[in-house]
Amino acid sequence: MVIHLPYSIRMKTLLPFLALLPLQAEPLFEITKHPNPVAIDPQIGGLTILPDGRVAAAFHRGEILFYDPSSSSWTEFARGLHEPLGLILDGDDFLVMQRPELTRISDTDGDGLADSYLTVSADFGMTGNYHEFSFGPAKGPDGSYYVGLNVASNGAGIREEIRGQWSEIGDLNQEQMTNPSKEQWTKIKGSAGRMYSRVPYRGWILKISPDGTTTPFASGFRSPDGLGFDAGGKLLVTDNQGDWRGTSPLYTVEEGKHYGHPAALVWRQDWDGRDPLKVPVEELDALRTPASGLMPQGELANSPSQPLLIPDSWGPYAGQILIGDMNQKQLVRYLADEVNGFHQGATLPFIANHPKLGNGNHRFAFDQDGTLWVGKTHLSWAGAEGLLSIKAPPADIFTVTSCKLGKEGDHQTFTLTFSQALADDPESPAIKRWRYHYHAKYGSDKVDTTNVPVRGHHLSPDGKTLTLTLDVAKGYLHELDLTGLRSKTDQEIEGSRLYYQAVEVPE
Amino acid sequence: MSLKSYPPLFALALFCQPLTGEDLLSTGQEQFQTHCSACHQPDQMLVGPSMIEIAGLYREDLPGFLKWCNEPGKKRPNAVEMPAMSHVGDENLKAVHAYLLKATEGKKEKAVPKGKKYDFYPSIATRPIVQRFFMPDSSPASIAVALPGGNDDLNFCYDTAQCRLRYVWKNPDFLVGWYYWQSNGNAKVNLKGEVIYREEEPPFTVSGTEQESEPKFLGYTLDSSGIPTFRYQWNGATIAERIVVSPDGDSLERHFKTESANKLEPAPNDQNTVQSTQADELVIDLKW
Ligand code: HEC
Repeated sequence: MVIHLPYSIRMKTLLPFLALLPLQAEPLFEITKHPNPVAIDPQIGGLTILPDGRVAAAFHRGEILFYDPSSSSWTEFARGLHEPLGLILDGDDFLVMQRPELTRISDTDGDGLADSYLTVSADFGMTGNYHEFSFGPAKGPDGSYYVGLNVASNGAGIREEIRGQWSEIGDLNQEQMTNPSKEQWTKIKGSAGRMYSRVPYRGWILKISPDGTTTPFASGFRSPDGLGFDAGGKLLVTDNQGDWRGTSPLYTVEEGKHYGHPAALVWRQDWDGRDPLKVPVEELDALRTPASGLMPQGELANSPSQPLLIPDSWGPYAGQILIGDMNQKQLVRYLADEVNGFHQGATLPFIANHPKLGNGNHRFAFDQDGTLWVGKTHLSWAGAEGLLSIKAPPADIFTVTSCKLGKEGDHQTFTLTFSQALADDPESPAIKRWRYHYHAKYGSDKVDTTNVPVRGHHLSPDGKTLTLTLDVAKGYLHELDLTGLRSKTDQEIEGSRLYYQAVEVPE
Repeated sequence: MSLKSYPPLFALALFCQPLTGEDLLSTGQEQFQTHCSACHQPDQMLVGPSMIEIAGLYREDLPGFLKWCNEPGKKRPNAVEMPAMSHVGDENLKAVHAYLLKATEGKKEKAVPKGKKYDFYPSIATRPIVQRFFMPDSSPASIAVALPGGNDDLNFCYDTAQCRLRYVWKNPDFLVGWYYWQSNGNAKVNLKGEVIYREEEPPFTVSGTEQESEPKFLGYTLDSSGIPTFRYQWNGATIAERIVVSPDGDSLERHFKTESANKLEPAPNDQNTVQSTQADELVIDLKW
């Protein structure tokens, strides 16, 4: 968004800074905004690439259109869908996750328009609450499709008719929650749970096999607006800051595990029927598998979206994970590590401070040339609209390519690997740590923030590996401020703050 | 961009506390861009009210502004809740306040008529139309269909949870979708037309089966003119259902076909009369 100030104010305001700022180099990433389709609400819920290089996008009001980059033009393929929030190509068919079902869409008569909309799975409940979004699918190495089901929000009640079995667990009964008047709902909504799961598998990841067999896979999600697989075939799912989410997490999801949002517990087969909101927090805490990565609210991400594996064409970024966000005008990068068998790692800002990126970055796909396509949406929250593309960056870009937590005597080490040799004699990055509350309240302040002294550092002879010795605290997010690190070739670092989540510390 | 990643500005902020004049305005602009601009546009309501509206409300009321930002309330019925901005800090919020007043000087709010952006929508402009929505008086997994034929004003609601026709309404313009589409799904569409028929159960039963099962929706296909055929399983039968406007235009022709050995037994009533019944297809005429 451009703020129009009178020219005189703008110049006068900027002058003192111009003197202080280093000259802004050409942005490292080349971003192009593409035209929106005519007379279509250009909020993009799903994005994928066709074998011929065209870009398929699913829109808020239910259309799927193809964008041809060579002619900058759109053609329609399908319509009629219900808030599609994920689109993949599966052989010759499209799979789209819409509010009520996972659907296989195809053009059987070859006229270029979809004519077959087959239900792959609708084996989950809906109360009609607006927040019960359906996300995905991501196709796993096992050939199954993985989807995420948002819990309902007590911003509203439920509708007269629901789909699926009603759970009696909770202070409010179905009648009280059905289509309440504003006044009535304001009085009782506190008893609903801030986000609630009263029909099956809200707050779950489902696994759906191509024949439609649907298995509840993992519980404990709030708003899992992003599913993807890493290079090793592990399922990654993001979630949004809110109740039971001190700040937005990235999870490495395994079958049968629980990921912290308690509303979903009522649909576990082994659940004893208690209201999860009345279970002591320590007990809930013990049930959950912690996040692999955390994205500090307001700094890195507020409402993260899709995680996606970065291809080889992106040089130093290859094999890492990019993550979108609705609020921040940047993306996020995740560098994976493994400690004591647990998958954890570091998050960093990605493509930050770029004048053309903007916010609302929701769905992603890399095309055959390695160009990254970005679909934006907002659904009346923070965000934007339309389609961007980002060219693969220059191969000599200077950035951190990995961050590993290790051990050295009685202390720990962070070993940072860089894509370019560091300038001689770098300063140790300043390190801080804090953690977040796990509680029913919305979000969390940073807790127990302290500076962490660096006991020493060592630069490898090739200048590409920097090892920092320090004391790492279990359960804390460690922020490494890399501002000011420069390469031998005198480039500034891309991604200057790194947040490592130390769930496990080497023994 | 946080202050920390912007050392020159940070340094400047430290040297001249409290901020005054142009430094105050530039900090305000910087902070506004970082924390507020995603939801607040200069001259029209986006997610939240415009900068102009905010400046108007809080011109003389800095304490009220700070209070709202640190602990936002719920005021506008159609808006989402604003997240608390306490992490920005009062000093920065004061700068945002100063910037808001300055940047909106002499500017006027752009009028955006309610619903205008959503009134006409091409993908639901030409019959036949098959579009999923949150519909009144049906399950949350329902499909709205506008049929061509007759006076081009017949529409029906098909429920994919119960796999059956729920009602028929008359509206040459189909319905108004923007109630549902305008934001995040917290409203149903408005039919803007008279419901001329409602149905409590299907006008047939499945015979030759002991099996009882809940209906299970299998999806739909569109013929070359765009008319849908719904498919589902019910009590052991796989059934294809298609509804069209009859040739004389004053009734609906309902075709039910089995793709299994079971036979469909018509259950006619005042409005539904059997037109033909064959081994694998039942045709029923619906009048209202
Ligand atoms: C995620 C979206 C979002 C962000 C970010 C946001 N706001 Fe808001 N803001 C809203 C919404 C929505 C409303 C209207 C809430 C209502 O009326 O219920 C609002 C309303 C306001 C109001 C009007 C209060 C009144 O009395 O009517 C002020 C002032 C305001 N915001 C200031 C700010 C400032 C300053 C920032 C940045 C520091 C900010 N907002 C960031 C969404 C946002």
